[in-house]
Amino acid sequence: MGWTWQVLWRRSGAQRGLLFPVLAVAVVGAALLGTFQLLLVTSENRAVDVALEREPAQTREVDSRIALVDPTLGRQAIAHASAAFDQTIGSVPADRSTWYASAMYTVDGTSDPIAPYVYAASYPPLAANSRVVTGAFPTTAEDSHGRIQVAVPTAAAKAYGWRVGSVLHVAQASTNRDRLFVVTGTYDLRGAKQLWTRDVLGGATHTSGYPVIGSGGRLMTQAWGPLVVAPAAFTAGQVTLNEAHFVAQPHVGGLTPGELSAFRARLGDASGVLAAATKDDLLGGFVRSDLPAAIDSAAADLQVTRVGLVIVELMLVAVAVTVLLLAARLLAERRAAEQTLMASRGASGRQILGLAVLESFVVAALTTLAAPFLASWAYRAITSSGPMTAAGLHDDPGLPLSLWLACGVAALVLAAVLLGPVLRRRGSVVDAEQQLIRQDSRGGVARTGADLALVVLAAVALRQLQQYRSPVLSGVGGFGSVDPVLVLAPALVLLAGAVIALRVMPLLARVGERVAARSRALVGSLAAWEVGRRPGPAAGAVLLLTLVVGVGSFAQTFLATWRASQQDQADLAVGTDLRVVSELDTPLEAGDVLQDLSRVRLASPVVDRTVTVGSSSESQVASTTLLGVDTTHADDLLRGRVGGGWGARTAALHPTAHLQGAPVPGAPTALALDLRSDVTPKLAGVLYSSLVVQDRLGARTTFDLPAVPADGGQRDVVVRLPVAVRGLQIVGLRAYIAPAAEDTDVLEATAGNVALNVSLGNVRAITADAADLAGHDGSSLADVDPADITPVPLTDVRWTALGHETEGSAPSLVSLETQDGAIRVNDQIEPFQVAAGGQGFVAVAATDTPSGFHGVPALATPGVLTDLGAAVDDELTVDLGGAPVRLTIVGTVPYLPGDPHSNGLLVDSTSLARQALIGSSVDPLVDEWWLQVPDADAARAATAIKDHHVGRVSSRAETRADATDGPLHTGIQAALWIVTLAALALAVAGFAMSTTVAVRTRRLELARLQAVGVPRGGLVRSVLLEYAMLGVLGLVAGLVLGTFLGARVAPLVTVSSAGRPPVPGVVIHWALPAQATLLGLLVVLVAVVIAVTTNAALRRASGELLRLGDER
Amino acid sequence: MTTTAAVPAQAATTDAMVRVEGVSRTYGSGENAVHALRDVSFTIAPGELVALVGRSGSGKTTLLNCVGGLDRPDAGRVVVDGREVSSLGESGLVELRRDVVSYVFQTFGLVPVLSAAENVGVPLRLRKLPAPVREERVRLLLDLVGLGDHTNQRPGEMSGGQQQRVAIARALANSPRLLIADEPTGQLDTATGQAVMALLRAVVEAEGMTAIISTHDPLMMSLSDRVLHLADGRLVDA
Repeated sequence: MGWTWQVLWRRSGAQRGLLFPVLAVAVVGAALLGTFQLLLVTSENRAVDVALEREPAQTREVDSRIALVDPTLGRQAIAHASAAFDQTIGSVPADRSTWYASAMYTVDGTSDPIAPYVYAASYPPLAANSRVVTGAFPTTAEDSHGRIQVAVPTAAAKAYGWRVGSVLHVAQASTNRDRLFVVTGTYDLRGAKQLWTRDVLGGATHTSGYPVIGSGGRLMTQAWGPLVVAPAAFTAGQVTLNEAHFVAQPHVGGLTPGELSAFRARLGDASGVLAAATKDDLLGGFVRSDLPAAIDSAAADLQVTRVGLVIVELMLVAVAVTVLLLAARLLAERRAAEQTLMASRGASGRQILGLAVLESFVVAALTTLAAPFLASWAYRAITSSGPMTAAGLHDDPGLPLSLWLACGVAALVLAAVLLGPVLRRRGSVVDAEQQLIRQDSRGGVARTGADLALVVLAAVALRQLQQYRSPVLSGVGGFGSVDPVLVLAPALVLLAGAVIALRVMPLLARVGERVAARSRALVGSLAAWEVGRRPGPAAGAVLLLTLVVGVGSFAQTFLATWRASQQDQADLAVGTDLRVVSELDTPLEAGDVLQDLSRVRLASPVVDRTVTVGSSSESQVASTTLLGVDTTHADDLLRGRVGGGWGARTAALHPTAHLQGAPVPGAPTALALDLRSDVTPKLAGVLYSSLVVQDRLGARTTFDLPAVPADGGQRDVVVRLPVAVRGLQIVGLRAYIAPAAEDTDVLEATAGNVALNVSLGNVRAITADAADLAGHDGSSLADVDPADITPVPLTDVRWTALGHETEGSAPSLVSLETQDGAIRVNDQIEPFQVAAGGQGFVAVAATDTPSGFHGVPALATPGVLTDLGAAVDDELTVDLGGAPVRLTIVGTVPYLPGDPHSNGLLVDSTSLARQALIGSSVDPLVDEWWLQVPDADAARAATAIKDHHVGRVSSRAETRADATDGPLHTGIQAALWIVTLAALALAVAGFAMSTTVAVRTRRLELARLQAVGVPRGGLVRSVLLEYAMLGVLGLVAGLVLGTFLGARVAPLVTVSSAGRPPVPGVVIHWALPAQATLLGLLVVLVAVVIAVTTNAALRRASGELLRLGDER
Repeated sequence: MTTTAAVPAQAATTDAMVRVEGVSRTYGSGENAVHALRDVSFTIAPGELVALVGRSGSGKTTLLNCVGGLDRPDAGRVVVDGREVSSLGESGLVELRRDVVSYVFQTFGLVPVLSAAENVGVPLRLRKLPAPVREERVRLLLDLVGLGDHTNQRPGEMSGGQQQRVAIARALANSPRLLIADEPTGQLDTATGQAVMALLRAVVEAEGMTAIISTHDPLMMSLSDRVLHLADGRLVDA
């Protein structure tokens, strides 16, 4: 063993009491940083897996859809598309299925005015989500006679009298190629609507308004399906394939980050790969999946969380390094006499440095060996309870290489810190002695320069952070890069604030000395002198406490502010308690379910869509969001922080008039009515008409009536209602004439207007089981018990009929009269408008005549006004599916609930619907349902809605919980708590070490004081008072610093999940109880540690000790 | 609890300031035992200046520490100003050091962060004297030791002789009845040492105190009223 090792070994043994705390602090510091490393990498990668696995199945789905250009290429297209899909999915585990649907076939031999359509399909979920009523699903493509075997929906079977064995003569609608279908069974579809989103009719099995191929959308007919066939009918090419879906549900939970990234890239390229593989086969093909967006969103979330973690980690590094510096300084002071002695005995600076390097290396090695185990244990402890467990992040991280590296680097940095004072202390023996008493002036100048540089750097970083308003920069491709200066800014401000506090310390110490000079007592004076005249250890203690209190205060403020902001963002993003996008066919069905849910206090239909809006004054057009809500219940319904509250904000939007239609008695299953239309001159075209029915929730549903010839004959038509609901009103009727091809000549020859006369009366509510109604005309009522038929008087309502609005002019009033329980409308239309198709009128049940057409009051976001060059009181025109609706801007709103990042217009849904109907739009204007539900009941209500297969639900409570405690977000909270508790622990360890070394270093001095009569208790009190003075200084400075960081930095590092400034803006939450608890705990722990340590370390004065003289 | 209550009333009336009776002190045990003092007995009268001489390791410092209450004898007893030091508790020892005994150490024993005046003022602060009174007394003491112009200097800024004079001034600050000085000139050059010795002799006479000083210095021996010779832990005749 060489000289250096011998000295090191013996000295370590002799000074183990000093080295052990230093090593302990190094291990704890490195382990904390290692724990952050695990949070940063291991936990966050797992968080992505968990987050993606928790996404709804629809989001994780990958759907490759192909549509054929040439039906004869079906088999080839399937093979090519399948291969391309295999390439996209690769080796990722996935549940896969293939859906086939045919082109439309016309069915010959029915009584419908226009031949109805049917389509064949083979859907994997059919077997498990249907009920076979008669017969069976086909198992082979054809029967022995070469006929395609099909199972038909019971609704179609009833409408056309099909049964098992019936043969359907069909022709492919676009090619007129004939086929024979033979019925093998009848069935009813079951399951949620979202199961059938790939179905041509969305699982409805029937529509009365399917556009007739080749009519340009003017003619509609009945369409039925799917007619279930065996998959072989498509793969063998016996049925004309129209489209196919290759569907996969990948299981991405077990993928490594690299595999996930590669899969994300393949998904991005999937449509291109599909197009390349099938370019000669397809009319169109694309791969649709929300998974790439979910992966990107998770990656963005991860990046933002990591930025937050790094910000917090850097602060912890500052505290840990400070503790180590404190240890190093104390160690150096303890070693000063020894080094002086060695130097005076001829040891070179290199030898002294070598000894210190060796000692630091040993400390680093021991730290590197111990810290990873401690970090792994700490991580398991942190994730074993609370939000981390709830977020699915409890895991045994093991001892990954990254952890060893993190701990190793941390240990080396900490070891280097230990070397710092040794490198500085290179003067003469006399210099070394003098440094014990007085600050070196050159060192003071250097420190001042370094402090100034730090303050300037912090100011620049803070300024930059304020300018960018986020530590995350948006990159070229959207979310992106991280600016190191911005991430460092909080730690720099923390350090700069701490050094400023240190600059204040001498001023206060001088005051203390003056007080001490005038004091009679010794104890307080000794403490004041010690603080004022040994600035090194005092500064270390103050620096540590300032940093700890500053970090702890900031961490708690940041935590509370961050949580509140995430919840505010979640509130505003969802906009209401529960947000439902219905997948049911009609608002009537959705309203029926939602209004009966026991936990739902209020259910309201909402318009939320992108519209084209034009400014009349500036002739500018923009695309913007239109949000229509029930403003009379704004405070109950709308969520998200806004100045003044949503109720007051939207007061100006309240509707002044309501639709009051013809009440429908009972809970009808169908409506029957007599419909007669007559056109002059006579045309071969048909009349299309729709009834607009409003339910008790104010949701309107439009029911298309069967098309009838405009021949003057009266037809008794029946429209089935999807659900039997009480409280319905008929609020509107729209009718238009669709000319036939042969009418063109007649219309061209017409000199005057075309007279369209429509009579609608004898409306009856049918309460019999709708399944018993065989058809769509009055004959279907033949078997209905008369007791189940109740008249609906239309003539008690004030009706207004309006023609179509043209070129922005107000719609003209059309002659309407009520007589004999019927309403009769006489419309005059110019021939060229009839020829263009779709011309007619709308009859609206309204309380007043819409003369003047005041615009619907609207609130606009500032962006809309900027885009349109509009201002408050200006009028805008919104295009609602071809129906122009005028809006009047009555004020502004900073953002829209439910869509805070878009420019938009906020209106009252009732006012908008009324005005849209007047504008001849029979669009139900129900895009979503917003529900008021207490938070405690939200989860159960959401489950009930899903159980009723209403549609997709967004829960504010769930979004709030995910925003704060979700797998991708909870890490920041864990980090803030870790840094708070770690700061506390490091403060306790630092003060224990500081006190131990201080008392040991001064033990001779303290013994001398005892020898002149100072009681030991007085000396203990003196040390306590000394640290109390430092403590008060550190606490005050730390609180000021923490408050500054909380006020200036916390709002800037509190960002959205995309790393942008949050909407709504950040409100600072000071978390005063948590801060008070933290400070109280800190004061108590530090006081106890100092008292215990001092009492233990301060020995009774003895001759033996006093004889040690100046040997330290 | 102890202390002054245990002081026998008649002891206070005896004329000896220091009475050492059969004191023994051994460090360690077994083969490694070091017998620092062996059955030492002597008395010192009030106002007497006694020089304690002997070679290094003869037990001088151990004896002074036992007299001053910094160490406890294994056997025998030490009575100072009527107080049996060896049986005093912590508070009794504090009181003894504060009111009766003062030390002057070979290594000066000054607090490095305090100025000369502040060091001298420490014992006065223990008595909670008003600041003006304390400052006046400090000034007098520093003038007495010839350091009236060095009141604000700290020990590190003074020579060894100056530091020892500050230590003497501090030792005199509370007007002790017994001054114990352990080789006060051990770290000083001859001239400075002689000056310090002369100063000690002078202040002992001036203040009327008793002093026991361990020294190798012949001058000090010559200035003392009596010389005690210590060899291998025993008092021997000169």
